[in-house]
Amino acid sequence: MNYLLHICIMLAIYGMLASSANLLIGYSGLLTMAHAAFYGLGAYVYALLSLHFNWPFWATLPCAVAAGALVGWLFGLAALRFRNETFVLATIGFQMIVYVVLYNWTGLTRGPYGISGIPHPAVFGCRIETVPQFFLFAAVMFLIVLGISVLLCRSSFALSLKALRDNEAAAQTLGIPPRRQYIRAMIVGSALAAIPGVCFAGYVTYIDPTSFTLQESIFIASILLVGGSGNIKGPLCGVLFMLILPEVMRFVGLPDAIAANMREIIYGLLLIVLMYFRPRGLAGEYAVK
Amino acid sequence: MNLFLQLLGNGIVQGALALCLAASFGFVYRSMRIFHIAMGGQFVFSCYAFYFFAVRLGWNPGCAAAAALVLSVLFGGLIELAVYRPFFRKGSSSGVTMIASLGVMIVVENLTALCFGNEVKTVSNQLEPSVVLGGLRFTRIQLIQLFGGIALFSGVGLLIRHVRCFKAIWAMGEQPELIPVLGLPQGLLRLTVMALSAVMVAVPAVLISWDIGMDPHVGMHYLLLASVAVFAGGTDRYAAWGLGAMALAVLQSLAVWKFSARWTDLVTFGVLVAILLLRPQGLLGTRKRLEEE
Amino acid sequence: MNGTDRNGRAPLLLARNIAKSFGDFRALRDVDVTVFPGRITAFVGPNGAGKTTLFHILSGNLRPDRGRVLLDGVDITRFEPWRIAWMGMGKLYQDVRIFEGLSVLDNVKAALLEPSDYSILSAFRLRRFAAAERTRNDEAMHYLEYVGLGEFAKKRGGELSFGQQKLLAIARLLAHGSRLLLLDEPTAALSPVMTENMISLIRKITEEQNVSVALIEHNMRVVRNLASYIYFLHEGTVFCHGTQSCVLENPEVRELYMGLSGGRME
Repeated sequence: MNYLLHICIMLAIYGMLASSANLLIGYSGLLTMAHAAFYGLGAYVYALLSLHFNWPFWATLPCAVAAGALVGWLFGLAALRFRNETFVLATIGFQMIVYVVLYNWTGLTRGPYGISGIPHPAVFGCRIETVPQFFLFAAVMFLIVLGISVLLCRSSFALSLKALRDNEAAAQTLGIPPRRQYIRAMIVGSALAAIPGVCFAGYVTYIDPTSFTLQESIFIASILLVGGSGNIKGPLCGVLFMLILPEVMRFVGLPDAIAANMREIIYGLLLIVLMYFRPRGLAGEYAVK
Repeated sequence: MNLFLQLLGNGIVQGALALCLAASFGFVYRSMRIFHIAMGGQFVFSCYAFYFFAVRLGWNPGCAAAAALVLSVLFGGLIELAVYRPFFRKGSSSGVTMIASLGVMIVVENLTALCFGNEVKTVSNQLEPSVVLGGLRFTRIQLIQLFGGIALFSGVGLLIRHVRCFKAIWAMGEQPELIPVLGLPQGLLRLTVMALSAVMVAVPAVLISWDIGMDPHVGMHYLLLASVAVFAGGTDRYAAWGLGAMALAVLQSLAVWKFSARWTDLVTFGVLVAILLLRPQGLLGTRKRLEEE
Repeated sequence: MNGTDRNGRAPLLLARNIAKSFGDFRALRDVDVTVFPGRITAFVGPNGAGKTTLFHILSGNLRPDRGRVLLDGVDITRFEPWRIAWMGMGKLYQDVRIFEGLSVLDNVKAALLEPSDYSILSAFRLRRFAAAERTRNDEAMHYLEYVGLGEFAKKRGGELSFGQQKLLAIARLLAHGSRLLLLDEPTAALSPVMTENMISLIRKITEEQNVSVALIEHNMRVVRNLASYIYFLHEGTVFCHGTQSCVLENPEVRELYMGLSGGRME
């Protein structure tokens, strides 16, 4: 039973990651390969503040979000002069730089040894320690992030992004400022990505840089490419699909050593096939340009 | 001082291989407008093809290398025919093709892992004889890498300037729409680009796997090196790719002199970031304004 | 031609000493144009004369090598295209460029957004948003009906025909409040019926909406029908300009046009 709840907790965390990335990939048309960097940023901020300074959850969460927003803004200022492949390369570069810093700034992050003993979050006085408690906590956080995403996706802010995504030159003729709007999207997407980072750190109580690699960013992007983006149900569909599939494979009895590689092969084939037959993904509204 | 020179020398040797890797990526990017992520997969494929012939079948290194080269070219053609060509015919955008290319890399790397295991493998178990050149020590394989890499890169550079078939490949990058208009065989040209790219990635792959070995997930590292070199140098000029690659490799090697080896990846991406911020068209690129077509 | 026109109105758009080269190719050399309000100004000339390049410079998509562009007296030469759009200049591209993935209605609603709607916080002001949405929906429908696309409101932009997309693009520019429309070949690739449609729409706009129009055209019938002032461009310079009779009856112009484009001066 705990295992099922664990899966649901991971679904919630990836659901938050997918929703936040959706604003960038699906609504703005910016294929970011750096989302895991912001995920990691949230996790590390929470870990360090709560472990070394004993800050409570209601203080560390906004800090993590603010850190995500700030770094997202700075990164956006630099990277959002570019589009298409150059932008993707810039995000890869940023992701790699963050990883290298997390891995090597051992004074701060303890590098490959990671940070252990991260306190569980305490909400309204009670500490969330058991798996069922965490499931409730994660579900609530997910619903909050989902709610924010829904509001954002229905807004005029999102309409301006979709216009830019569809045709940047035409959007300019209507007075929509491209760089400014893209940077705003980056700020929000990065800030929201910090929240699942906090949840993850508080849940597993041990984090190291290997959870926040380029591969992880590619996985998050794949969730949106496979499931779909540019609407609400696409990312959720993607999360369900991409996270349940390995469980199904485990259930079927594939030995773990092979399972990981088989899973990746399926992901890879899915990407190729979907991009050919259904570039907007299983349930999405936007097809990558 | 000696350490500095040795590192510089090592860097130049690495650079010689990086030249070819950059060209491998650059040709597909420029002539076919595809962000060729699958190049990482081709790198891994070439390494393990070499491993298969040299270790599993026990052939001598020269024959194994040749066989690996041939297989790599065939594999490049397969990628074109099975993946890139259908997307091209469909008129898919470059972003979509890039993601398909990513899919190819993922599939290739993990198939390789399934077949050969996830661990690092080495091809050569013997200690390489070393040579002292001007006070600096190089292994034999390093010298092969140095001269082989430079020779291949320069040779291909001459080809695209003087041999008609290869000139056409270069022209493809300039004005892809003209190719069918001029009656040139587009399909054949695309296959030639992929074949050339395969050679340019297979040679370094073979030499690197002989030197330090490989694992199935090493492709991304070399893909990033190649793509950053091309963008940093300037996507439109062959020599620029070489400049970017050599600069990057030397900087990476020298980073060990000032910082520790752990920070070399930071160098690659630091360079990329610096270029994107200060000179987005690349070191030798021409300034292209965000203009209307 | 500084100063005012016959009715004493100040120029709306001024471009002076515009020069632009692409490498060795000199697309524009020392071009002066003035667009007065309330008029339809046409830019004609053979292909490659620099007309589209000029429009790109006027709308801020290209920077000229030399020269200045003034809109309502303000120097907009170095402005970003979106800022120029807020100053009242709207451009219709030759290849239209609507938002194909959005609905026709959303295409126009995007034009009705105010700068305050671009902010992130706007997503959270729910009551204000609901009221504003209602207004935007109504206004958008109004503009769609004005150009004759009312029944297509729910369709995806990509499903419209090329001619309908042009109408949509114009509806968007009107909704955004453009006072000066730059139309790059508005009747190109349109059927005769759609061309008539477009001609009467352009006339209707200038008469009813107090909008000035500058257009690039190859179809001389359209030019004769609409333009009160014409600039004839040739090889990057203004060969001559004036009223219809001045330009179109000019024997040198006729020769140039006939000689170069096989004569379509109907």
